Amino acid sequence: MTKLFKLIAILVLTIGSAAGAQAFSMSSTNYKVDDGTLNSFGGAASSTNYGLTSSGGEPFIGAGSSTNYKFNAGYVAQLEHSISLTLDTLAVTIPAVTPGTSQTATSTTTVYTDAAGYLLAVREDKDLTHTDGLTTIPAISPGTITTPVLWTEGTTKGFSFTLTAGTGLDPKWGSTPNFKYAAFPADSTTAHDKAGYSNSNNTTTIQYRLDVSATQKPGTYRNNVTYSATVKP
Amino acid sequence: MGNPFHKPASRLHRPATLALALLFVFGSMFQTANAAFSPKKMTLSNQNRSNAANNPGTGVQYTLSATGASATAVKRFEFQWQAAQGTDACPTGHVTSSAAFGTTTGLGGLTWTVDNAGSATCLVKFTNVTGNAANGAFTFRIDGITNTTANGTDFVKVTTYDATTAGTQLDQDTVAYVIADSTVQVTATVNETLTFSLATTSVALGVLSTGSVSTGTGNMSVATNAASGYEVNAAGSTLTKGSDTIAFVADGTVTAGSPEYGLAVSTCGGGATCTSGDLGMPQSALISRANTSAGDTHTITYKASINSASAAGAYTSNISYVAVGKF
Repeated sequence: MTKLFKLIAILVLTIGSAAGAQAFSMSSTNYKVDDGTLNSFGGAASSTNYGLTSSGGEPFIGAGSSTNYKFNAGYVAQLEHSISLTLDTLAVTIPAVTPGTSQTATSTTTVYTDAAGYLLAVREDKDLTHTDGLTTIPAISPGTITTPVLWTEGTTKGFSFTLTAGTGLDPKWGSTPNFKYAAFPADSTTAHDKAGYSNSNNTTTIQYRLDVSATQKPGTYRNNVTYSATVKP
Repeated sequence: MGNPFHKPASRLHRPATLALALLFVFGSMFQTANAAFSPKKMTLSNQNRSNAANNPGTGVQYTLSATGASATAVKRFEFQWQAAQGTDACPTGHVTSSAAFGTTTGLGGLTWTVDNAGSATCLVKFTNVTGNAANGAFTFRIDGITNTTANGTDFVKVTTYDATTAGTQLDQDTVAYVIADSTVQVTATVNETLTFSLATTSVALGVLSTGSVSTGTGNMSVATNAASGYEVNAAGSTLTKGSDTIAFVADGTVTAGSPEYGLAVSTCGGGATCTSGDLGMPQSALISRANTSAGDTHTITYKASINSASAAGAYTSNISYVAVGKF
């Protein structure tokens, strides 16, 4: 009998500890408790550059559900992250180009996320295309997101972009005045991997650069450049 | 009286029942606790609203990149779009009724059958009777989605099961993505260009004689992005010394012993067309080209001859060229 009590005591102690470590989210009309935890340690902490929501000592984690209920138990890592993307403008005009002299314009993306960084990807729907619907301005070549290249004024021809400002830009993009340029890909491709928490709006400046050959048909050309921001897993 | 220790049998029975009940309760909890995907991300081929003015988000591909935890073969994926995490309802204007299987990686190359019966709540299911474990890195692409009409953060709850219907839930997680006006229309203008230059503005024919034709040359260069090319016109005065002149050639050839003066395009550059023969002035479309030119170089040869009656002295002539772009 003594052994039985000990067993029960151990079970209660163990299960009691387990119950105390489960995370939960509750809400009513007036109140909401987001992913509360009963754990060994945890909480929110921050410094100038970093934010941390921590939880430890949770022996049982995961998600459970039934027809009427959903149960998320475990570390705060299960919290979903939000993300927003804003462009400073949806229309960019590059100053008129005279062959041999490049022109530039810029866009700025602003991303806010509470995740541990984000990926900024770009693509274009087509080459810059004349209003005649046929004539195009090709992208620079060589010059890819993987391997951007220096711009040689008067020699480099085509449409391209570089990243001139941002947080933690890859050195492959160069620096002023020696930025390195890439063609916009047809498929969305990550151009900037922003690491770490920001807890604030994070901006990236994209510079478009264009020069054309002496035989490029005069007139107006257009295309669409699409950006996408994805939370880092 | 209320002391359970007065009844040994009961003391033994009640704690044992309690322990079993506790084990059952928490054991059940452990069974329903499903693992999350980690890492995970949802990549959209187009993050614009479906009602965006430019590049609207229709026919969008959603690609889940994740790593599952369960080694059991997944036979059903359920994708539940949510405007708010935890609420199984479509983001405003979001349409999944045309969802289709795209492609996968890391899932054995299987083809998954779509079930859009739950499109009213933006629930899309994909099933495969064979299934494949999703406990490594994998991707699952869904095609044909129409994005919401409102910018902001939306969610997809992803759940895997071990059966094509019902069955046991394996992994479940929710991943966020953003809908935003994310397309920039880039406009660029290319200016019309026409460049023209003479290599020299002074050509000496030397001392003219009755026994030969004296010549001198000069080059000109023309470039244009005019779609219809260019033409070069020429005009000027004949060789003149005071009131004395050497007339322009009239028969197409400057002949030794005849007092004639003219010019010829001796090298017709690039793809241009040039008037042939020895020519007097003026000349319309001396040189012409029907398309763009990155730079054509033409050589002009000036020719003169005299007869014994020609007055001695220094003769001069000014020939002017005009290049015209045909835009």
